[in-house]
Amino acid sequence: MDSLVHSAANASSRATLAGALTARTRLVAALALVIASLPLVIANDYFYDVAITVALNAIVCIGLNLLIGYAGQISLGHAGFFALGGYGTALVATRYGWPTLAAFVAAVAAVALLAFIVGRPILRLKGHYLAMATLGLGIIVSIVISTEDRITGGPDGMQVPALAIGGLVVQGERAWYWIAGGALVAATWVASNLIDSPTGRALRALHTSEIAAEVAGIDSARHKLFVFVVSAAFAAVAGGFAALHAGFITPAKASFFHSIELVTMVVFGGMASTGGAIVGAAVLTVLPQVLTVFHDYEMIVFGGLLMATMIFLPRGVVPTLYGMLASRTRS
Amino acid sequence: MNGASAPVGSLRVTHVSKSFGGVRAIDDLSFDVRQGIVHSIIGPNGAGKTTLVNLLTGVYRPASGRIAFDGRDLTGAPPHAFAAAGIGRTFQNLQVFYNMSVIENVMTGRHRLASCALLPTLLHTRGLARAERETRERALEWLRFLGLVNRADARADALPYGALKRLEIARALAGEPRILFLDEPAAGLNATEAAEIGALIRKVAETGTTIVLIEHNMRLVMGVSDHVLVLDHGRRLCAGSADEVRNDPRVIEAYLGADHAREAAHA
Amino acid sequence: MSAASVQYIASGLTVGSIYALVALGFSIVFNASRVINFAQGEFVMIGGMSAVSLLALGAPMPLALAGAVVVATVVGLVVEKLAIERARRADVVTLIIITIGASILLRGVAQVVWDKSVHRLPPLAGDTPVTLFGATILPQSLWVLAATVVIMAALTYFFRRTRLGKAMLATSHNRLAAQLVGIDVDRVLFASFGLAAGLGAIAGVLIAPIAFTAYDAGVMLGLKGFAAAILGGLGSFPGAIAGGLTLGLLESIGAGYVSSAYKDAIAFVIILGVLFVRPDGLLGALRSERV
Repeated sequence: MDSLVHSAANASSRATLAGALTARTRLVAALALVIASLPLVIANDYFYDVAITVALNAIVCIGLNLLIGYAGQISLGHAGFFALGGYGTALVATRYGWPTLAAFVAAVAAVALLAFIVGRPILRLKGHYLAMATLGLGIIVSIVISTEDRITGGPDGMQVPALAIGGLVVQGERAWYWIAGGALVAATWVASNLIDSPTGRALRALHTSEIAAEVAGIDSARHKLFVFVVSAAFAAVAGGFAALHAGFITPAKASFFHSIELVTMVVFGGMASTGGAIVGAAVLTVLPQVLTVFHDYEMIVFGGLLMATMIFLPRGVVPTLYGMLASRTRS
Repeated sequence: MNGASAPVGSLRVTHVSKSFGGVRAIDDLSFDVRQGIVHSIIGPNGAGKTTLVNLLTGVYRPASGRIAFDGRDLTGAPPHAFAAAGIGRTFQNLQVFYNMSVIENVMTGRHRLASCALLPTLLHTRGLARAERETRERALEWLRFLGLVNRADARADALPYGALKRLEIARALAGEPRILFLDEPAAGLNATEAAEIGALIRKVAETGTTIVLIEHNMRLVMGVSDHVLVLDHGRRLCAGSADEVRNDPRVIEAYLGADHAREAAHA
Repeated sequence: MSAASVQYIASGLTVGSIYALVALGFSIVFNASRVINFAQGEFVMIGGMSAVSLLALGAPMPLALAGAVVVATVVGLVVEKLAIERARRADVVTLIIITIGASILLRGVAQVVWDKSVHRLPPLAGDTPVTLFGATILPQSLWVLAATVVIMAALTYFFRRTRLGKAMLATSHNRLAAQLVGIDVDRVLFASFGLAAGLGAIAGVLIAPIAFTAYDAGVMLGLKGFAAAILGGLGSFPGAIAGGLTLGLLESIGAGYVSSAYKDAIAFVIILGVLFVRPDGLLGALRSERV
C-alpha cells in the first residue's frame, strides 16, 4: 500500500518537476531567441542603441524586482548603485590606469561591498522608513558625485574610456548589442535560478510573513542583505556597461528621478516576475523614444502610469495578463 | 549550567519574565518540557500562553531568565536559531505563505535542512537540483500525512480554513522538529475537526516528536496530554498529569468553572 | 554673538519654519492614514506658483495668496479622492509608490501649465533688510516666523476645540475606536489631505519671495520637510515644529561654518542618522509590535 502511494508521489513529483524545470529555463530560452533574432529586423544603429539601453535597464530591473517583487522590500535609491558602477569603472580606469574590463569588475565588486556595508543597518527598517532611508542614500550619492567635481567632473560628468576585452577595443553598436544581450541572458538565468531555490522560497516567504519565515529557520536579515547586494550588483553591472557604451557619464544617472523610473519599470511590468521586469524595462524605455512629443509630457505619463498601475493593476502588467490567460484556459 | 539534572533533549525554562509596558505577561516562570511526551499549556485568555510560546520560539526575548534546549543556551537568540536547534511551531493567527503553492509552503518549512550556498543557488547545480527533488518528495509525504496531497500544487490562498490549519502543521513538521509547539490548532474548528487534530497529535507524538499544545478546547487537551501546565496571570498555577490538573480544586475553581468541572469529570 | 551667527540663526529659523509647516502636512496625513504623502512638497510648489500666476493675472496680493492656498487645497482633495481613497487597503509599498506617482504627475502638470523657469513673488513687506542684533534680516523672514506662530496657534485651537479637529486627533490615536464612536474616518482622511495641502501652500507662498519658486521647487522642500517630520517623530505635531526648526538651523549653521556645497546633504544624513538610531524620532513614543 505504502509503496503504491510512494511511487504515485514520485510520478507526480517527476511530472511537476519536469514542468518546473522547463518553466525556469523557458524564459531564458525565449529571451535568447528574441535577442538572437532581433538583428534580422533591426535596420540601423539608432535601433541598436535603443535595444542596448533596453537590455541594460532590464538588467537593473531584474535585480530590483528580486528586491521589491520577491523579497517585498523597497529601494528608492537604486540609481545610486547604477551610477556608482559607471563612475567606479571610469575612475579606476582613468585615475589608476587599470584596463577597462578589470576596472569594470573592480567597480561592481566595490558597489557590492558598499551595498553589503550599508545594507545591514538599512534593512532593519521596514516600509516607509526603508523607503526614506534608501531615498536618502541615493540622494547623498548623487550630491557627492555632483559636488566632488575634481574627481568626478561635477554636474557636467566625465569621459569614460572604451571597453577593451583582451586587447581588442569594443567598438560599434553591433558589438555592444551582443555584450548587453549576453549580459541580459546571463542575468535572467541567474535570477531564475535564484528564485527556484531554497533561497528564492525564503525570499518569497519573508515577503508574506517574516515571523513564519524566521520560525522555519530562515535568517531574514541575512536573506534581505543577500538580495539587496545582488540587486545592487546587477545595477552596477548595468551602470558600468552603460558608461562604457556611451563613453560618458553624468550625475543625472544617480538622480532620484532615475531611481523612480527604475521602480516604475519594475512595478509596471510586474512584481515577482522576471519576465515582467524585462517587459517593463522594454516598454518604458521604448515609449519615450517612440513618442518624441512625449518629452514635455514625460513626467505626466510616468506619474500617471505609476499611479494607474498601482491602483488598478497592483501586481503589474505581466502577472495580471498571465492571471487572465490562466483563468480563461481553466474555464 | 546545571544541564545535568535535565534529561537529554528537553527544553528548560528558568525564571523567565516578560513585560509589555507596565503589564507583566510572564512572571518568573520555570518549568521543563520533557522529551517525547505531549505537553499542554492551558489558562484563561490573558494568562500569557501565546506570549510564552513566542518566548520559547525566539519571537520574543525574555526580560530575564534563561531558556536552554539540550543544555544549549538559546536565551535572546533570534527565531531562526531556535528553528535551527529543532524547535518548530504553528501560529494562532495563521501565518501561511499565501503567495506560494501548498507544496512550496511545506518545502519552505524544511529550510533549516536545505542549503543556501551561493554558487549552487546562482548556478542551479546538479547537487541543488537533486536536493530540491528530495525536498519536494519529503514535502509530498508530509502533505499525504495531513491529507492535503491532492491540493499540492494549488495556491495556498485557495484553501479553506481547516486545510490551512493543517498546512501550517505540515510546514512545521517538514522541518523535522524535536519539539513542536501547536498554538491553538483547534481554534475555529468544529468538534469533528478538533477530534481529527487530536488523532493527528497522537500520530505525531508516536514518531517521537515532543509536542507542546496550547489550547482552550479542554476535551482535546485532556484527551491527548501526558502533562499539563496551568498558567494564571503569567505565573505557574499548577502542573501535573491531566488527571491531577483536572481534579485540582484551584484549577477547577479558577479556570474550568462549574460546567467544565462537570464536563471534565465525564470526559 | 557675532553678526554672522545671528544671521545663520535667523535664516535657519526662517527656512526651518517652512520645513516645520511641510512636516506638519506629512504628520497630519500620516496620522489619518499611516500613509507618507510623497506629494506633500508639490503642494508647496503649487502654492508658490499659483500665487505668481494670480498676481500676474492682476489680482491684488492678499487675494492672490489666498487664492493660491485654495488652489493647492483643491488639488490635494482631488488627489485624495481619485488616488488615495481607491487604494486605501493596499500595502505600504503600493501606497508609497502611488504618492510618488502623484508627486511626479503634479510636477509634470506644473511643467506644462507653467514653465521651467524660476519665478519670484514680491515680498509682503518690501525688500529693505532690517538690522537686528547686528545682522541684516529680510522682513519676509520675520513674516515667515510670525505667520508660523499664528498658524501653530490656529492649529492648536482647531485640534482642541473644533469637531473636525478632534475627530482627526481621535483617528490618529486609534482608528478603529474612532470608527466605533461614529467618526467617518474616510472624511477625516479627505480633510487631512486638504489641510496638509493648504499648509504646504502657505509655506510655499511664504518662502517664494525669499527662495523663489519653480516647477521643481517642491522636490527638495518635500524631502527636507519629511526629514524634519522624521527627526521630530512622524505623527507628532510638536515634533514636526521641533524637527523643522532644528533641521533649518543645522542646515544654516552647517552651510555657514562647515561646507555650503553639502548643505542639501545635511537633511538626508539626518534622515539616515535618525532612522538608524532612533526611528521614532526625538519626540516620538516607542511602539512595540505584538504577534
